[in-house]
Amino acid sequence: MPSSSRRRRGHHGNRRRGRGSGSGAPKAEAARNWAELPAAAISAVLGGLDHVDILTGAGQVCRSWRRAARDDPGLWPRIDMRGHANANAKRGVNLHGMAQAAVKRSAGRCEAFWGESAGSDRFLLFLGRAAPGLKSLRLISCYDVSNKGFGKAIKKFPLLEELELSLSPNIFGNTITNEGLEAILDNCPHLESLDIHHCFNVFMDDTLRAKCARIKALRLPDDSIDDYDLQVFSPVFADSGNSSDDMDDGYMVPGLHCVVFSEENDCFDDDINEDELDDEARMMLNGLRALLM
Amino acid sequence: MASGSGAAAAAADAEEKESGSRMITLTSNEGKAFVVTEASARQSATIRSMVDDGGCVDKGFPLPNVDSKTLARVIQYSDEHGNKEPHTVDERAALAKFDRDFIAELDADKAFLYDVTMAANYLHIQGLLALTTQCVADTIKGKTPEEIRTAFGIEYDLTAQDEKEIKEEDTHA
Repeated sequence: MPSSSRRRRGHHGNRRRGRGSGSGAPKAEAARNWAELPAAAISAVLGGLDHVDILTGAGQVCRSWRRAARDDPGLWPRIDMRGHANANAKRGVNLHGMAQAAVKRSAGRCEAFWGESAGSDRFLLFLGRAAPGLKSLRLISCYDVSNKGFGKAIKKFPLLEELELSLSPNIFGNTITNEGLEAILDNCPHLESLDIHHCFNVFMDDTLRAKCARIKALRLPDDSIDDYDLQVFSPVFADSGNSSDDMDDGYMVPGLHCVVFSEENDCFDDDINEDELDDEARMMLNGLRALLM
Repeated sequence: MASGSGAAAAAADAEEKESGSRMITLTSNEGKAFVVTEASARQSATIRSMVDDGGCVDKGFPLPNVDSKTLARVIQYSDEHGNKEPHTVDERAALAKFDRDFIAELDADKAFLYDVTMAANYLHIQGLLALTTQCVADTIKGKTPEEIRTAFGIEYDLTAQDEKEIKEEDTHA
C-alpha cells in the first residue's frame, strides 16, 4: 500500500537519527542502568509511545519496564491501534492478540477503542465484557467483523457516544442493513456521532430518520460527499495555512477529525509537505493516512 | 520578598526589582557552584518549593545527586526556558529550535541523556523530563525488545512468569 505507509516509516526513521553515531556510547552506557529509571521517568517514556510499541517493544524489555507498562491503567484508557495495519507483515505482530492485551490492561476503564485491522467478532464480544464504559468505538478496515457479531456486541456498549465503521466491508458496504442500524440506535442512547457512510444496504425510511434525529453528527450511506467540505481534504489544504477556516464552514465533528469516505482519495496527493502544515492539519493528515492504508 | 535583614537582603531586593529575579546558587556533587537567576532555578519544582517555603536562598542549594557536567547542561535548558518568555511566533520558534538542538546532542550520547533525565526527574523540571523521555521513546519506536535492550544496554531479567504472560498475550503472530 500506498505511499502513505512508506512515508510514515520514513518519518519514523528520520527521527531515529543519531543512534550509533557515538561509537564511545555503549561503553559509557554500561554504567547507567536504564532499567532502573525512576517510575515517573519510565511512565513518561511509555506515555510517548503508542500502544502497539508498548505491547510489542518497551513492555517486553525488562522487568521494571514491563511492570510499568502492565500496571499503570492510566496508559490505557484510550486505546489507539491505528496506523499499524502493515505491522503484521513488518514485525510479525498479532494485532488481535494485542488489542485484547491492551483492553485487559485498562482494567475495565477503557473509554475508547480505535482499531485498524484489529477487530473481529470475538474481540468485540470480549470488548463488550472488558470495557462496559466504552464511549468511542472506531473500527477501520476490520475485515473480520461480521454484521451478526457486531449486532450482538453493540448491545454491550450502552454508553457509546461515537461510532465509526469505515472500510470494514463485512459490516460495512455490504451487509449492514436497516436492522443493523436500528440495533445501533436502540442500544446506544448516548450516541452523538455516527458514521455509516458506504453502508449501501441501509435504506433510510421515516422510522430510521426519526431515530437518527438525536444524533448530532451523522453520516448516512447516501449522503452526498459534496456536503463534506471536501476542499479540506483536497490539495488546497496542503499548502494553505487556513484549513481551519475552511472547516468552520463545513461539516466537521468535534473529536471526529479524520473521516474520509470518498473514493477521491487520489486528491490526497503524496507531495504534501508536512512541515508546512499546522498541528491541526498534520493531525488530520495522519488520521487520513491511517484511514487510507 | 520577605522582610530581609541587612544590606545583602536590601541589595537582593533591589536586584529583584531591577531584573525581576534574585540570583540563586546551585552546587553540584563535586562542589562546583553555579549562579543562576531565580527565574531559571524556578524551572525546577523542587527548588521552587524550597524557595517558596522560605528556604536557604542565600546559602544556595547543594545538589548531591547531580554532577557538574549534567548540572551545567540542565542549567542551559532552565536558562533558556526560565529567563525568556516567548511572546512572538519567532520567539516560540527559536525556543522550539533550541529544544531540538538540545535534545539532538543528548540523543547522540545516551549516557549523558540518562544523566540529564535523572537530573530532570530529581529536580522535577517537567519540560526537560518530557523532552528527554520523548527522545527515549522516539528511539524505542518500531524496535523489538531485543533491539531496545541493545540500544540502551539493558539486561534481560524477565521472569518465567513474565515470559508466560507475554506468550499468553500473544502479541506476535
